[in-house]
Amino acid sequence: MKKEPIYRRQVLDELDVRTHPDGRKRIFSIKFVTAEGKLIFFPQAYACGAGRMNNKVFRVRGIQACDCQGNPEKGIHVYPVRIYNIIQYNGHPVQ
Amino acid sequence: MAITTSTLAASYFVLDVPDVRWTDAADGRRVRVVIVPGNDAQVEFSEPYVPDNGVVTLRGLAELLQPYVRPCPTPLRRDLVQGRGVWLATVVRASFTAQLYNEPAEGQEAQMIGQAFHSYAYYASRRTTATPGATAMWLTRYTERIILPQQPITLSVMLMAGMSARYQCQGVDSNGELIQATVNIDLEASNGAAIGSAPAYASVVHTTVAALTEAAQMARLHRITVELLKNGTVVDSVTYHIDYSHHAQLRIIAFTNCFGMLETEAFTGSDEETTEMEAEFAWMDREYEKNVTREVTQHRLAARFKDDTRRNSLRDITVSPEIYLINDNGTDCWEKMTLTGFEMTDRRPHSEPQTANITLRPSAMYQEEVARRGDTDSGETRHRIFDYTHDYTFN
Repeated sequence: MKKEPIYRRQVLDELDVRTHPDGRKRIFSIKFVTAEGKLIFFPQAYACGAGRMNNKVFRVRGIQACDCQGNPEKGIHVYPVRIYNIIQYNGHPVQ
Repeated sequence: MAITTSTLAASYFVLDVPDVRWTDAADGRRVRVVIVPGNDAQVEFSEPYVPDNGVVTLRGLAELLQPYVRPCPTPLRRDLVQGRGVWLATVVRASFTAQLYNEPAEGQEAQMIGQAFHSYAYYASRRTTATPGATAMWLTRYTERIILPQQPITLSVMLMAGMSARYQCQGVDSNGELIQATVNIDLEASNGAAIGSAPAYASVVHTTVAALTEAAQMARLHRITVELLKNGTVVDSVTYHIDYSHHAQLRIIAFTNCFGMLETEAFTGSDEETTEMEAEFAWMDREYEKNVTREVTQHRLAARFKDDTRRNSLRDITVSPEIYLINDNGTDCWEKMTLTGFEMTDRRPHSEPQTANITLRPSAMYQEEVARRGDTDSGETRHRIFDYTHDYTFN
């Protein structure tokens, strides 16, 4: 079933909330394009910082693939993702 | 007499011009070298040289020729309004003539016994590129850069036979699915010039993100790679990432880059406009009066650049012979400006964006200068100082 599109600012608001009230990581699925033009889909990931740069000014967010319990996937690094390159969030196309 | 051609290619960017050597001049007493830069026969350098073991070497030609190799004598906007155009008169030829004279007998003038003439093409450039002008490459500093959607995409190339170009676009369609599309570029703009193996003129590729999004039939573009092909093989490419950030204040500057070709930069910071009044005073009819008043308006533009590759490009703005301020729709109403100030802050490591401030003033009109005219002795212009609206101090 095709989900309704959501706005990019809604996605950014979601990414700003890192944990649930009980301390568990907020896990979501995300599809984005890297700077090299590679399409990447993580069925389970959480948001984090992307390097030492100012994420707001540089318009990026850090995305880390994880398992269902929020443990980072081995061998997969944090992806600094340009916010305009996010094309799907939790199955919703991003406008 | 011969010229050593091993060090000379058919064409150069002007700062890459090597030393020119004439050999086999041992039988003559002296060599007179005549250099005619550009197409203007009015300018000529003529200098006698005494051969050293039969060799005459001309050094420092790049500095000599550079002022005469200026790009684009026609306004930039006229070429680019139609989407893509030809940058005419970018190539300038310089000819070298070496005249060999004999050793005159006493009381006689030296006679010319031989002459060698060579002509080469030079392109405007303000840096050494280490590439001959005949190299197939995009004439830009960037291989990758971030641009705003309002910013025109401009790329230039020295057009040669077998060249073609295309946009490789990546973006999403209306359903949010990632798609890719190829849009071909017609490099041969309609000036009717023949394209040979050596470059004859530069072709400027000019488009906008909106036009390309429509041509690629996408809802939103993420990434544009502009590929240059020669004989079907990709020889160079430049990648643009689109930054869709909203900026309350946006000013786009067009200027010429280090190759003398068109480039654009967007300034998204605060835009200040300041006006100053200057006056000149003189003694007139035994009274100290104002004879010239100028009202000068300056624009101060600020920018923060997120990628750390902008530094040299921003420095190009300071030495660009022409600077234009582009209005919002990008293609027309380019206003010619004069740069009057430049400040840049670049912190390392690049945890913060580079910042740059430039100060400009319109150069098309001289701003509000009115001077006393006429014969002051007749008394007709006395007290007719134009400007009583701003300053009554001395009136």
